[in-house]
Amino acid sequence: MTGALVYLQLTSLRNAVGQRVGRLRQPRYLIATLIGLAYFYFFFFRRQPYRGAAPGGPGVAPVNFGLLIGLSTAALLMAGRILYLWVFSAERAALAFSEAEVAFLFQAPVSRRVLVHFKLLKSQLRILFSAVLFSLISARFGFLGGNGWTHAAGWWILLSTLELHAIGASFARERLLDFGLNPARRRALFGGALALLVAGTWWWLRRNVQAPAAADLAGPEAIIHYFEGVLAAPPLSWLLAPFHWILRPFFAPDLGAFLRDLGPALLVLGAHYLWVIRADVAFEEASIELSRRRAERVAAMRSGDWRGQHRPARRRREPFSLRPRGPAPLAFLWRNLISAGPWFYPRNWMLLSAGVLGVMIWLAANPAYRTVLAVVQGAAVPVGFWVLIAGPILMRREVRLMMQRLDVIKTYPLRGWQVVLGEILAPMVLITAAEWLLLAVVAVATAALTGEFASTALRSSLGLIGAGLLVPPVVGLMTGIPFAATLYFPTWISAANQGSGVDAMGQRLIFAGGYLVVLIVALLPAALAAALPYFIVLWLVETQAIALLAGAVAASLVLAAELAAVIWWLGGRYERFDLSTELPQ
Amino acid sequence: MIEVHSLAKIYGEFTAVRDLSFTVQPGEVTGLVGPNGAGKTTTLRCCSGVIPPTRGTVRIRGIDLATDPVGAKRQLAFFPDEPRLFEYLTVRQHLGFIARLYGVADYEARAQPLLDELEMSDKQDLLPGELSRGMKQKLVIACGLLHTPGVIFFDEPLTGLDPAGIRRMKDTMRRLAREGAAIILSSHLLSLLEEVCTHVLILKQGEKIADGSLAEVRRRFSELPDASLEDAFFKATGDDHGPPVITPP
Repeated sequence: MTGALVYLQLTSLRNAVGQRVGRLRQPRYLIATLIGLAYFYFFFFRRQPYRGAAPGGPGVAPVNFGLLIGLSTAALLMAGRILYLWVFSAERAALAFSEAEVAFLFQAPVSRRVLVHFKLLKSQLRILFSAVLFSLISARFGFLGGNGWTHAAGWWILLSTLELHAIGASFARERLLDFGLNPARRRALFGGALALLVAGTWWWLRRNVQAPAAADLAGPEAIIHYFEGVLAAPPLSWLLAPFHWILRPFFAPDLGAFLRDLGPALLVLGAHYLWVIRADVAFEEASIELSRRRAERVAAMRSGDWRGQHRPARRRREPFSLRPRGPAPLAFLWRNLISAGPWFYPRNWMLLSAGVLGVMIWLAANPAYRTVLAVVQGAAVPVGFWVLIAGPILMRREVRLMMQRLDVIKTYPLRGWQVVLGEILAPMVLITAAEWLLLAVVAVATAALTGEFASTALRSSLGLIGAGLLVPPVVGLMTGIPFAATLYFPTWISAANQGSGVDAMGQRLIFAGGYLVVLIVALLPAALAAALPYFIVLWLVETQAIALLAGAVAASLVLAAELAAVIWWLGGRYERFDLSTELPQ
Repeated sequence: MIEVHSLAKIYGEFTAVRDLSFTVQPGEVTGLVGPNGAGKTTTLRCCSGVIPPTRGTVRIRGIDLATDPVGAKRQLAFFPDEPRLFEYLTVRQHLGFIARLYGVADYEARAQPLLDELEMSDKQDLLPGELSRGMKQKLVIACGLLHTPGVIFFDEPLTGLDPAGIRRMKDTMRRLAREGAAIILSSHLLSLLEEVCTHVLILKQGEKIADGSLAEVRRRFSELPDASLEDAFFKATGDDHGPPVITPP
């Protein structure tokens, strides 16, 4: 029977690899794979490894992180994970199987132990891949010691042990449940034991370890030396020893040390394996539930829910009253705002904006808060760029949802441009509102920081109006690009959104590059149109702020015309879009 | 009325629907049947404007779907086999949304009797996630009928319904036909078609094998006076013996 399961796993793997290799005959997969491989090559192999600043060179002096500090930090992280598994986790004993595996294997004449072995074998593929990937990253940090191979082996031991411990802990929790120890009691029991352990260790530290003297805090090296002394003494060293055994191969500075440290690590790993394999716990029921939840999560992610969590929807009040007559695109906005949630409703957003601006004006009026204003101003600009990028991401989700319902939407008595405008409106309104608020924040902060508030307020206001005029059409164009990409290259976009692996990564890179090119082409005419009124007004009134406003008005008009043309053009494409031939099945 | 003339849908080298012509008069319910891959769903999608035909014309109550798609779509309703609803819109909000798309000014007055008939009056504030599959199907029907369409397409309408839901669906289809709607109903359930349809259109490999009233089709393809539509179907599609019987080893 084990042979059948190994066959299933190996055949599935071979077919998956074969399918991926086979589709390289299609140019789009081949090009995307080459670009993805080039990205990996340049990211992992061509970049100089990080070894700290060169001696005597510029920058911060390198810190010699002690082995014990590194080991103990990693051990504490590991302990945190294990603590979570034993104290906080409420998950029942469940092994992650796919829905097909549940359907076929759970009714097959297969023992639990064989199923556990199958699960472990399956998880090894993921662990091996992760170990290689992580080692490519960690081996770049020369101060960690070792090389790519020792790091890969170290990662494998660590990840395998954590995987086995998670399964073993879930089995143990199930057993405790059978003995009448429900999660609340378990938390109280294990939490109490943990509190005692921490209190005991603290008490011991207070009695036996001297508080750091001034010399111990003289610099990074001294601080590390002090803490190494604390960690090396019992009982902390005893408590951390099992974690250290697991982690030492990863931190081994050379091959000799690695081989020396391998024995204890494999011993702990083997003990975990025996623990899991000998536990005879009924995991079937919880595993079925887990596989269902995982399938739902995957379906939710594929349908555009980036959180991948399918929580039951709750009723939401309407953002505004939708009358039965009027422009149809507003109905799309109304529907999508309900989906977005009450935080984005006009009234709530206006209240939030008023509150934020009130605080900003209060800060601006008080010279003591200049530093705070400077921090807010500095943070608002990158946040503004990030929000601008969020528009296309939101749009990709909307378009994906639209594509799923296209056979219904196509029967609506609407022109294509109405549907396109309707779908674009919500991300456009949401991003514009956020950008306007951020612009207002920056304007207030700039007015307060650059001089007398009253004298710079006018200039800030003009700048605010100018930038504010540019935002809606720019956001509209930015959200229109993913829409256009989906309508013109549906199979490309679908594969890039849903796929995984090197080719999907390559397709995303191609999409990002194309997106930037199209955006630059769209912004170029607006920039040219802005130049003429800017120079004329500057020559006439010799006031920079007014000239900039004139340029912004001209640019926003050009951008608005471009947006209208794009919506019209996409509407035509939408009307001709044949979902039976163009959507991937 | 639905008028289809020389409809064809071709995918590369594959012809899904070939030179299909038929008419469905107001008050008629035409059952669209055929083996898997016969072109039923493609025909329904072309006739409802979901996908464009490669050739041919479709007229919905006299309006050409290709030249005036918006005008034609105002006259029709398409019910896919799977109810697809908006996660965050309640029953009432779904109706409000559809009313805006179709410009139904008095939708509240129209919606109430519809919801009463579908026994959904007490569920107006529920979200799709709180509805059973049958209820979701009912909501889709309420949305589709809100603008009083004259032409209706059903694609496997009984999928997932319980016995009460099946009966209600059949009653709804009969009532709509009585009120003058032209209906096309695609289903593999030949017994359903016998119960509900006045006419039948049999497709095979994208081509029309037969169309006409139920009695005409039965008469044409079976010598027996009490032959069922099933007998006629297998005779018409050239599969007289029906599907093979599978016996356990």
